[in-house]
Amino acid sequence: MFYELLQLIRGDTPIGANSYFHILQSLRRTTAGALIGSAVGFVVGILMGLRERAEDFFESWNWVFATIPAVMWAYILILVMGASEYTAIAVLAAITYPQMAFKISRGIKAVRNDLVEMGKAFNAKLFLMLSEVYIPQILPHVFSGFRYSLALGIKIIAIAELVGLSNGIGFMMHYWWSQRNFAPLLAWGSILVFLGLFFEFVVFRTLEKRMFKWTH
Amino acid sequence: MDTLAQKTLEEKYIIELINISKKFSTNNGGELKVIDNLTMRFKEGSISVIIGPSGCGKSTILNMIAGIIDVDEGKILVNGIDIQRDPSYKKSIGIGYVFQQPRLLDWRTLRENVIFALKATGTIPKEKWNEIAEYYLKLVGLEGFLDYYPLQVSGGMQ
Repeated sequence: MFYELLQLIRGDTPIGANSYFHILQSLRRTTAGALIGSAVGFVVGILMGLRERAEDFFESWNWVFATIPAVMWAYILILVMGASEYTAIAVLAAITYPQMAFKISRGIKAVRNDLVEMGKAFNAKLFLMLSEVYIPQILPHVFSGFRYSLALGIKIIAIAELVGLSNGIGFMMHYWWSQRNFAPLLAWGSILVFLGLFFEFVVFRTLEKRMFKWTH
Repeated sequence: MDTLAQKTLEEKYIIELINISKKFSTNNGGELKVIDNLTMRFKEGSISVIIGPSGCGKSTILNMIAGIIDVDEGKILVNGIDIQRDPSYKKSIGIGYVFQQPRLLDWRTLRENVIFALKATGTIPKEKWNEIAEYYLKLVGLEGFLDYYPLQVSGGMQ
């Protein structure tokens, strides 16, 4: 497997495109899916956090979305949208959105009322309240939601790419599976593990230290 | 009429609470009336103390005067003006409020916390914020902690 991994790092693939092209395709789809899912989840989460009726409505639907397996989403969306680039992104968005919605709605409910009262006592206007009191309290939940969405996206991008796409890490894994050659299949799979570790330990932990230095 | 304009100079009241009532919802879906038809007047320049057992509504009265919570019935006049109708008025006469527990923005430094209050007034020019914040923090012996976050200083300092 290490030899295959080395080949992959050198950029070699047996079928045309450079390995980095496939990795970048998967990364692009993962990021787009996580961003779209997070954006929808953010809006739904805000509604859930602010309006009890919205929470009653979305809570159960979110759980339905959250429990549908990734592979089932892939087949459902292929039926609806056809096999395309957008289908893979939509699969990721559908899977990541409920997590963000749950996190944001809980974040809004956890906004400290004592600080809202403090702002009112100083007669702070809405913009100041939003920028200094509400958003900084919701931000860790947004951050955590996106972090989770991206981690989930990296885990399932291979499934989304298995069906109907002609590039990406999932496609390459499927190719090697069809060749019954497991060493390169594992090498491609390990790229997803490395990507997950890179985002967690290099990107998110650095951002976290910068953004939330007041907690240390 | 029960307003400041009709009072004599000897009876000049700065804050008047007139027939105010306040109730809160309870966890079991009921209502708890904390303030019931209360009238109080505070003279200008005087020091007043509100005394009562826990839960009798002392903080509620202060919260209503500070405009943090609304009254259900009655009105609160500051300098004869109904603060519910014109909430921005209380700022111009300088109502200050000291909370029982520190209420600081944990994600802002001590300097920025003071600046938050200055920003909220909407009347102090931006270029003065830093200078004023430093002056007051120095006044309370926190000049060495201007750029510390609240969680980095002791409870007493907060």
